[in-house]
Amino acid sequence: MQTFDVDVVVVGAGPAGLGAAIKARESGARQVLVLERDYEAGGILNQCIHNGFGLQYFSEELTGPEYAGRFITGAEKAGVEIQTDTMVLEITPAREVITSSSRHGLQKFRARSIILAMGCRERTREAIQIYGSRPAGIFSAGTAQRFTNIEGFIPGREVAVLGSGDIGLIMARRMKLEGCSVQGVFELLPYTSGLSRNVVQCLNDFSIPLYLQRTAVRIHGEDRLEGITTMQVDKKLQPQAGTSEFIPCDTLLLSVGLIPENELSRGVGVALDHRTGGPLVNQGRMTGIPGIFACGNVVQVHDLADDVTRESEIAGEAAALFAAGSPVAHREKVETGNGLRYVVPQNINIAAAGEEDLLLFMRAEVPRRKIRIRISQEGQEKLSFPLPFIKPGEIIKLAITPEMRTELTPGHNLNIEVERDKKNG
Amino acid sequence: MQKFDVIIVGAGVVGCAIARELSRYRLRIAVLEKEKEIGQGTSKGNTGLIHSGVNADPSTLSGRLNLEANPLFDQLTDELAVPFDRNGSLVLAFSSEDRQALINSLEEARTNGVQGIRWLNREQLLEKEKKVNPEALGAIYAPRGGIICPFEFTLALAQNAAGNGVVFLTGCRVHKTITEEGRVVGVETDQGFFQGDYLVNAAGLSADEMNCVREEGIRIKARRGQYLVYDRDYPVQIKHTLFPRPTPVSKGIIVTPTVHGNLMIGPDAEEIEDRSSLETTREGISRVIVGAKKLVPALNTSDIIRMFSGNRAVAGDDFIIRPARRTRGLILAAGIQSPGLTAAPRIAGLIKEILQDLGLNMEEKDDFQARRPVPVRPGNMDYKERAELISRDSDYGQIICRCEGITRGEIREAIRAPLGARTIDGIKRRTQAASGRCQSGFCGPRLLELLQEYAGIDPLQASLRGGSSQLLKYHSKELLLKAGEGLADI
Repeated sequence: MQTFDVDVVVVGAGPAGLGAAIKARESGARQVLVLERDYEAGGILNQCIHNGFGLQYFSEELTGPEYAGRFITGAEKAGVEIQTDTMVLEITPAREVITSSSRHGLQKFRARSIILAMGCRERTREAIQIYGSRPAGIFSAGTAQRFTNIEGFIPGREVAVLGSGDIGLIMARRMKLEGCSVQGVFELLPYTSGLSRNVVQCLNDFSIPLYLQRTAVRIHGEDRLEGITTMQVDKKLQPQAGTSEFIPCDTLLLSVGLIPENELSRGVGVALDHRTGGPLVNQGRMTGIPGIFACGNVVQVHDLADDVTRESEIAGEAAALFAAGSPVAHREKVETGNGLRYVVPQNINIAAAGEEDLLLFMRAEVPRRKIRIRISQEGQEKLSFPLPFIKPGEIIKLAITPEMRTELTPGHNLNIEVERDKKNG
Repeated sequence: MQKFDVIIVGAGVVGCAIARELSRYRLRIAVLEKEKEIGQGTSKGNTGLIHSGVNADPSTLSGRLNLEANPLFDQLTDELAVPFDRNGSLVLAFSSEDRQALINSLEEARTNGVQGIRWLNREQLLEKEKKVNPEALGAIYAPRGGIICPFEFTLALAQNAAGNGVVFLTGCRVHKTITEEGRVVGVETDQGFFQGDYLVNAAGLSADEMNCVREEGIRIKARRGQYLVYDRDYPVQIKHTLFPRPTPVSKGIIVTPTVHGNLMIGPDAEEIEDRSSLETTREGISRVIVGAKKLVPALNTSDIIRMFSGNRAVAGDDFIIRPARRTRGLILAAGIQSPGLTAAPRIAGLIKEILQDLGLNMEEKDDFQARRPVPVRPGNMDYKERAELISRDSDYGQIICRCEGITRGEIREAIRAPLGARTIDGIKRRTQAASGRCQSGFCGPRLLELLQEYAGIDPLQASLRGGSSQLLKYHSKELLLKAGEGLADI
């Protein structure tokens, strides 16, 4: 097995990996190598041929492949090496990365720092336990997207979508544009889990019905899917007797959530946050193992590629600094209180944040209006951010400016929670 | 017209074990299978246990064959290169009545020749298996109980038999047994008439669909069992196979590791009308969870990667293995319910003896090959060996299934090997590709590419498991073009 020494190894050439690699080079890392298991760089964006990417980062509207293309070109210009069709088998705590590929066989890369950017995968039928038969015709929305947009095949003619994640909403529209009949989108919860803009642009604009608090309880068809039985659910998400309806369809697309892909992280012993499904990270996106960083959907499932890019740049810079011998240690924990599912980063260093804004990402537990986000230390309120509404489908981003940070006491943990905004309410 | 000495109907584990046993002799043998691939019925959907025989009743055929077959598996799985682990079974007692009954059965089991069994008290039990319900009062420990992949075992038997000259025909449903003067002369099938002197019915759930079997008064009922499989990284890890105290009809809902490293729970037992139905139900799955939690309370429903059900062919209380009474030349291997997987090698032996008794001339071949080629598994190699393998054959460097780490080389061989995969499920069962946590979300498109590359199957024809289970129906834009043609007419 050939062995190589590299400053920064990045695992994954999606938007997170590419953004981090470019930033690492710009921040002084000498050799930056990106390892990608697919045939091409670009990650999932290659199959996201719809527009809507880059509005925040580039202030213009791009398709997924265009957005990825900018980073692929950027990586080339920055002198980043990308090895495609290469799978990482293992990462060791000594920061060795072992890969397998047909072209290069097994290789070992000894890295000064490693950036994990493996992205996420879709939850399956099993994860949500739909009973019934096991016919062909049930796909995760992303797999159907790959078949349709890259491989050139359409799975079927009559389509139902279970779950209202963004990929499901986009694929509902995509199937309609291909001439399929789309029976509807069925969502267990009383609200959609995708972005509001996707509900409007993908469902409303194409007259695709959305059924809230209704889910699939049974799959029909032996060889090929023949239909699903759906039922209305109550507040406890239990199916209600007398509400069942048979929906004929030959194709069922599942958009029932995404799971960060942390098998490699787990293998090397990186501590994970059970709320995000990703590693516990500090403000530089360093995990609990010194020199191993993570960014993008492997840390938290983002809504927008633009946010992935912002996070990847944070990780890329910090990884380059670590490789050069100046690591940033964290001091304070960020704890989530009432109304929030999680906050990223989970660890920060108030004193070492410099002149940059400290960006906090968080996700609401349930939709609420007229609230404020309260940051306190030792039970004392330090900062407060009023917001007109929050919903689980849209990530909340708060920038803690250097000026705001003067309000915070170094060494004390932060507690962040949602409160009703009395002034607004 | 093809003429055979013996025609075996059904390429499940029983049919394949019989084929392999008979392939030792100078005989012309065919195995006819109605499905697109072998092992698609009961043999793919069961618990995968090689029962110790601790609760086997030697006065029944199934009990006797279980006891006789268990010791054969070390040599057999070595010859066939099939992963097999004598992980040991634990039969748990939860009441003083359970305890007394199980302790009483120990002596009987020893008399029956079950090796190494002993009683464990609660402390010993918890030391052996830490996650077991601490309310258990004790357990029988049977170290000779084991786990195997039932599909791979079936495939290996078939490949070895094929290597020794047995003809396998898939997609070949038998419509009718043809007799002359009460004696079998052949079968009418999807692929025409096949002449045969002896006919062995090992058709599992479909055994009674053959005319001559119905005349024997045999009726098959389907008993469905549902299962749950956990992600390999599931935090609750179990080493042994855990049973509750058996009832007269069932061994109960068990908790077991699989040879692939997943935890599996099930089955419930429910008689169903539609024997081809493999539905899972809310009631069945919750029975399985309740039953499994009784043995291991820490189990929950997170990290489940698969739910499935399998149907067992039940014809009364015992196996039916005998010559037919009304049709000469027909031999029955019917109603092979649990412990059929364990008993399969001895069922094959018994069928051989029956054929011999019926006058079939059996002359041993001198070129019988007991071994099947060992499948190459880079994931089981150390890095040095693996690097050498890839330098010889670079297809073993490319990972196709990321969850299970399965390479292009392994899938290529699964397709090209004798009785090779022709469906997505076929690849999955041979290689474990697509059986992991993403359930083919990522590798599905790649597997279709490889089926096309190595078996020439057009992606629009590629199916999950044959029949009309095609995965993809149209080319992109095909529906729009069709709609456009309609518009042009207006």
